[in-house]
Amino acid sequence: MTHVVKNSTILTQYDITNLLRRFGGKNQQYVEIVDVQKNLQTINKYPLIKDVSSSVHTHALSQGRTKSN
Amino acid sequence: MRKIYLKGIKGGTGATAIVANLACALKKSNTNVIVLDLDPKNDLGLHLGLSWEHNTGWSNYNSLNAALAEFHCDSDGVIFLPFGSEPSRLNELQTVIRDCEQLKVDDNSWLLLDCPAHLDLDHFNLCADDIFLEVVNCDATCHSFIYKRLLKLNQQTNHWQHYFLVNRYNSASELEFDLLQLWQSEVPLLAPLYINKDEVISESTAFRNVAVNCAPYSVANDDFETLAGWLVSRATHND
Amino acid sequence: MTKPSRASVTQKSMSLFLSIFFTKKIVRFLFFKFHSYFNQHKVSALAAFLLPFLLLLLSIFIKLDNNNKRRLKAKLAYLYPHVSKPIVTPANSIRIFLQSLYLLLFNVSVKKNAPKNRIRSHYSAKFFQKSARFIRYLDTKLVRSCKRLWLLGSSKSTTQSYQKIASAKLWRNRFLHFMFYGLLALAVVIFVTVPFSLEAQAIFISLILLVSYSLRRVKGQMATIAMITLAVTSSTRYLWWRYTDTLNWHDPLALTLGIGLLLAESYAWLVLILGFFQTINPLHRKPIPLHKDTALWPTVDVYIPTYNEPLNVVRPTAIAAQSIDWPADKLNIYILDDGKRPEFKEFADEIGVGYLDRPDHKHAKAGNMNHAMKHTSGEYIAIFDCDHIPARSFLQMTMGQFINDSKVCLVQTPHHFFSADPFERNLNNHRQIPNENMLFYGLIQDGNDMWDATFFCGSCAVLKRQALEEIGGFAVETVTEDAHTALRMQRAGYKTTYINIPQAAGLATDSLSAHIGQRIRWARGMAQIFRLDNPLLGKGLNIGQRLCYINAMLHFLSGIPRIVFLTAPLALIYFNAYIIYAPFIAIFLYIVPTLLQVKITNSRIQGKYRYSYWGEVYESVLAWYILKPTTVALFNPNKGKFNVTEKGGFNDKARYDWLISKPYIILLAFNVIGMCYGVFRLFFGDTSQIGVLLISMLWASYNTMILGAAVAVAAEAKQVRSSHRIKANFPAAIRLSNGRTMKVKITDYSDNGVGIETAHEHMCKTNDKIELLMSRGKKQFSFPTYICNTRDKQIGLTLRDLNLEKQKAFIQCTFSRADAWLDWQDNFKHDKPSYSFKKVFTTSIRGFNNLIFHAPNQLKPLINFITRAMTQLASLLPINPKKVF
Repeated sequence: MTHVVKNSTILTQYDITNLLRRFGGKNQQYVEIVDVQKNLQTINKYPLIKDVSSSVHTHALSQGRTKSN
Repeated sequence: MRKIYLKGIKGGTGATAIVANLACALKKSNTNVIVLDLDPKNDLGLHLGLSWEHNTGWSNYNSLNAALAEFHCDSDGVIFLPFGSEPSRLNELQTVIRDCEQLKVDDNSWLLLDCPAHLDLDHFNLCADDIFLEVVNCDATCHSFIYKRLLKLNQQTNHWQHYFLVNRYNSASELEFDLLQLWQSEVPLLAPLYINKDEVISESTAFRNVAVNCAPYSVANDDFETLAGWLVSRATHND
Repeated sequence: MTKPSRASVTQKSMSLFLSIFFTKKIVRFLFFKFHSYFNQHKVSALAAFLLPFLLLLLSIFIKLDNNNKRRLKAKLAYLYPHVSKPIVTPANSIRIFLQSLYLLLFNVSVKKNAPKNRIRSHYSAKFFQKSARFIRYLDTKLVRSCKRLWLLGSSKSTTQSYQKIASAKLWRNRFLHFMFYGLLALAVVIFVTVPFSLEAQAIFISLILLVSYSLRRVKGQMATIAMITLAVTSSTRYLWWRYTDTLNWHDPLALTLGIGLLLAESYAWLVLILGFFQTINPLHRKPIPLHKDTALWPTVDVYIPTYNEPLNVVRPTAIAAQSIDWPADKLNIYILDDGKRPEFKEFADEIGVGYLDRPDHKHAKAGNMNHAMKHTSGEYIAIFDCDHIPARSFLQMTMGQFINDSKVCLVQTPHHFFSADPFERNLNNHRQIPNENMLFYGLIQDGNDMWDATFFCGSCAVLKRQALEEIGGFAVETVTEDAHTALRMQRAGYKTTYINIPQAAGLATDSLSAHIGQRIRWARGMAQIFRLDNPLLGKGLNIGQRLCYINAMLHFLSGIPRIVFLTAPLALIYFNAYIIYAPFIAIFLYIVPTLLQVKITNSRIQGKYRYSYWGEVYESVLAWYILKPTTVALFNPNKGKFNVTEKGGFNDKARYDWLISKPYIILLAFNVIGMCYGVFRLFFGDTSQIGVLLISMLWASYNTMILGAAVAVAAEAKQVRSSHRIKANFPAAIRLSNGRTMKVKITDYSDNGVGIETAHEHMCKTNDKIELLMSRGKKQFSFPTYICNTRDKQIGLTLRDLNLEKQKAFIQCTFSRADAWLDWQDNFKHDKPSYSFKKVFTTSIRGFNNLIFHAPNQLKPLINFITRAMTQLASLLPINPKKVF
């Protein structure tokens, strides 16, 4: 059942996995912080994106569900 | 047999090139790969070394059994079935998919389906084991299509593994950089990897080959190997 | 050509005289040879006259045709390669004599096909080889049997009956514990105080050495503890013997000097014992993960205090601090600028961090931070010196300790340097041996953590605001406000922790004088704390914490003891004062094995963090300078001013720092003169106590080596680049102008350039423009770069004209990688004392070379003379014959 698929690097070796592999405690999770500020900037910068964003929000609100599954 | 559907969210996102390279990457890990071209443009063969003159495929026959001679094998061992020159109807599409599933190959084999951008998802009978990759580029059009698709997916009854796969990513472009960052945190179902823009992908088609073979030291090669590995993990997740 | 007029008369009469005995042909030969020797080879007239006769004589006995002659000449040239051309000179005759002796005794093979001459064993050589092989065989046997015994002991523990006994309630009985430790203490006391006869001492000490020698390959904590016990026993015994048996009460000079040495040795013993206690079980604390919901994470202020450092040093720190992975609304960065510089304010506004300055400079850094505390409000305060660039994972690796235990008030991480400290730079051994810093942050602080005695080091740490407020802010009474603050917080009942993962790196001090200035401040501060807030007294600390603090302070009082050790043997050599009043054999039996045992044990414990003998070098460099501040501070803690360590300077040429090295040179001179005087005494003086004299000379030569190494450090090397280049090893990619990409490896980076290595040949040329793709986590960034040089698969790239966003991104992709500094200890193999000794020895030779090279011009003729004389002498020595073509 096992496949031999080369474990390739996604452009760069993920530095957090290196760190946790060597020094992490048990069940250590790392949270990659989302740059909320930057995302807001992007949405506001491009009117089309803003349009999509606002209509998705209203749609979600009206549906009573958040857009993320 | 594991099925992977690849379709561009709109035309020209480079989905066929991904199919060809992915097939090669999967084949390199010693599993059987069968690629089925469902696009009337019939261009999969170009990526897999089929001669330009050869324009018949499964659509020129009445059944898959009759079309067995159209199965070609490229130099890496990838088996593919070109579309052909006849237009086909929807039920023929669904038949050929079903028939391919009946092919006698081992359970670990892959069936890659190169779907045309204009066909909608309802035309495929997707089941829980299927993986559907919708190829996107980082631009505003795809952004709007992604959200339209997400709205549609919310209303679906049957479920499958659906992912958006970014292709031709160029981090030097401000728009692409901003959009990808936004998508990575806001778009659910975004694949955790992307295919970088690499000239060698289109160059290799001119060489009648795939980037995986032409440029082993390129980022493209790395990306396709990563894609293959990720799909393996997704597929075993299913099992 | 000879002068025709004068020579012809003597020539004519000579030829006339000779033709009586020899044929015309021979006479012509004699003259020809005479002329050739006299004129061409510049041999003296008499020799030139006699040599042809010698040759004639030889030719009667040996058939010297052309071939034979050539072969003979070649063989002689091969056997005596160092004989210079005019063969008959007094120097050459000594050379020929010594070389013939050498060839006879060592039977060097004259085979021509060996690239290296092998010394075929002669009697003595064979004997040495055999005995060496035998010793090695014994050694492996011993080690193997010891290992087997050890393993047997540990495997026994798996059998059921043994387990039953081991886990029996009996062992938990407090009384039994008390009894056991009491018996152990009694045994130790007996071993230490019972006077042994010399034979008994010899047996006892050789047993100890045998055990620890065989234990040295056995891994594991138990073996370490065994070796520590043995070291404690033998060194305590040694000290007891010194106190009870070796003071000469009749000679006042010897007594005074002897007591001085004894006190220094007691200091060394105390530091040794405390050191064992401190580092016996490093904690290796693991980071604790935080809650998944970032909304529950606390707020953190990051302070970057600065005073007079240039902006280019502070830039990367501030930018990296901004990119720490922590919710943006809970992270506030502040540059605390005591220099009130407008460009810093502009910079802070430009990148979007806070800027605080204050009206005065009271209490330097501590006062600066206290002022900042009044204007900020984060629950936790992270502090980075302005050149310490944090990794993006810094907070997520450290904050877990606080959340887990509300009594924790400090999480400290190592200070790692990406530049070479003065020792490494001036001795040119950057990253070859562990640097001076490594012992403390790699081992000692980790050991402190076991006893809950970690103290704050001023940077790369996070503190709890509540604890700081409880003790009234950062301590300002001493110049090492960091250690003092931690001490106060511990007294108030808080706990401190140490995470031994380097999550920030900064600049080392850039010159020896700056380094010494920094240490003077620390030494003074520690002495001040000792006087003002003595950890041995006062409440709030447990015994482990008290002992660890005392050890830290004692470490800075090493000035006087180190100087005593560096000058002690001279007392015997110059004044014939018996500072150790005991027969030579007793001294030998007590000192040498104890020293060996201690050295072996220390090498085992500290081996990865500090190599043997370097500690003495570091101490010698500092000894003279920390002497005065600590003594002054011990008597009057409030005297003395705070001097700031300068960072970010640039040495543009190599020079020798005579000012700084004066103490070492003086001490070195004393020792060298002492050794010469000792040699003099050996030959011409009273030889009754020759053993003791020899030991003193040996000790003096050891001191000379250590001081030579100290002298070597004062030669400031030229700094080649203005920005520091940091070695790295992580993958990245490039996109060429034709759109193709290549996977590459980043081999080094600085703040405006990157060195990469491709896997495959590339067609890039200098001045090509290529796009560099690097990642921070999962985000990919693209940087426009130019190729500045290329060689084989290596390419050097410069980044020019980056806008602020790209500058930030660059720092995030390089300096603040979470794994940027993880290999800080990786290159260092475990200490090997013999190898380390060789290294220190070559360093001290380098020191002597430096003295000669940088000598002031007045001394140059003398030095040239001495050098020439020494090389002449050296050329007289026999050497291995080598092929002469």
